[in-house]
Amino acid sequence: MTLQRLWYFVTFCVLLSTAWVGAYAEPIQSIPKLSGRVVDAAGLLSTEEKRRIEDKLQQLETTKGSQLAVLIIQTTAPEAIEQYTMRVVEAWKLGREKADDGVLFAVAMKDRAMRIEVGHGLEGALTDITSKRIIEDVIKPYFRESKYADGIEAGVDTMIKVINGETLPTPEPAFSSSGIDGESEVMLLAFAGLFVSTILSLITTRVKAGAIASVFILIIGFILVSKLMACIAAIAVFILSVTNGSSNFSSGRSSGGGSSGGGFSGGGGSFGGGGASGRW
Amino acid sequence: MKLLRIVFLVCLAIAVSGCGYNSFQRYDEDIKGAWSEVLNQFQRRADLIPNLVKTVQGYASHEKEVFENVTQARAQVGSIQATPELINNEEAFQKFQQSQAAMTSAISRLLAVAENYPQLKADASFRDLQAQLEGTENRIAVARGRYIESVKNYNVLVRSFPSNLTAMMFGYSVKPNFSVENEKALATPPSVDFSK
Repeated sequence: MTLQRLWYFVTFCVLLSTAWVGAYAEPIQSIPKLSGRVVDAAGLLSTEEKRRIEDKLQQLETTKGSQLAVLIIQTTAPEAIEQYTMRVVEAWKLGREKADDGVLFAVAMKDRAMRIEVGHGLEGALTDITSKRIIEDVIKPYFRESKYADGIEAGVDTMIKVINGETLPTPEPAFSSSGIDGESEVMLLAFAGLFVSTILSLITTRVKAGAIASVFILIIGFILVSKLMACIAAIAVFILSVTNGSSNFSSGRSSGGGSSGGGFSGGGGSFGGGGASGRW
Repeated sequence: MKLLRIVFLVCLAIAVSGCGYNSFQRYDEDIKGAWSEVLNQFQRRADLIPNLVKTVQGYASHEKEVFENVTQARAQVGSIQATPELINNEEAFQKFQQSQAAMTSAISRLLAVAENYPQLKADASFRDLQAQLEGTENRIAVARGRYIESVKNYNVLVRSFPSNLTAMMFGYSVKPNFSVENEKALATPPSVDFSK
């Protein structure tokens, strides 16, 4: 056998053996993608109901900063719901990194089990007792009558009320609310810088003009926006003004303002196993 | 020429294990952090016991055996010095594990007895205590899981080549871990199902 053939054979054997090992692993439920604030893998809620709950959750994050998400699945078997939700929150990382203010409300329809998984930062507000009470006294009565959407919404309302009562770090004011996002800011700065350098290049050399303009933009950027964007804009200004000058003005590629709005992702919060579970 | 190659490979091996040293520091710190969290949660559980005993006694005062059992288990847990150093001593670690396991079964027995008293089950403070107990047991499970993970990483490093050379040089040895059979027993929290 040639060396290459031997190599292929070895690789094939290795792959085969890993597949073999994989076949013996006990299949646990996969974690759904964090597609939004309400992940309904069981098809329980109508579009209207889902949107209503998502609006409330988004409102919570905007005003308070805390990230509350709802997950509906069929079953968590072979794991207990506690083990499953722990894996989910470790993957989704709900809540802000320093504040750890994430909460996951999970419902497993076939298991008839639910759990409120509370992040470290909210364990003072959504205590184990409070979470248990929400499950038993608020949500369960609805679920017992198969009014699932109402139950989930009532539970979410109560949780939001509890979270609102808690002192948390103020949420970052979203720049997107003013209609400009990060990319646009850099471009705005770059254009301003180019304008300045074009004017200056009438007086002095292009290189010097570019340098002065980029320093100017750097300072303005530091004050108005983030350091990173200021640096990017300043470098862009210098390079552009030295290479090309005013002809770059006419690039009509502005991405404009407006926040993207749709993307929801975890903020890096951590969880310690607090919260409560219940069955109905 | 061959000698040079050997020398080169030896240097490479040392360089690699030199890098292993930093990993040891990192994993060691991970373990310490994870262990304090475990101790924290076990302590939290122990703190719930007096209240639990008092509440149950209010309804089932003549069930003396279970109360004695629980109180004794708590005393034993308290008698073991739960320090960060515990993880460096295999024997002490086992003792600690056993005392906590005894505590778990004592609590289970107490809750099983409480089953026979419907008035107790309906009592608001008892239900609150149960919620706290379940929450704490879950936290213990999570903390223990994270500790096991961090010890696993550390132990693998201690045992693999070439980092085991670094381990020998600096005196790092395998750290004790929660045993699997205990893991299964401890993983099921003492719970009472009211839905029946």
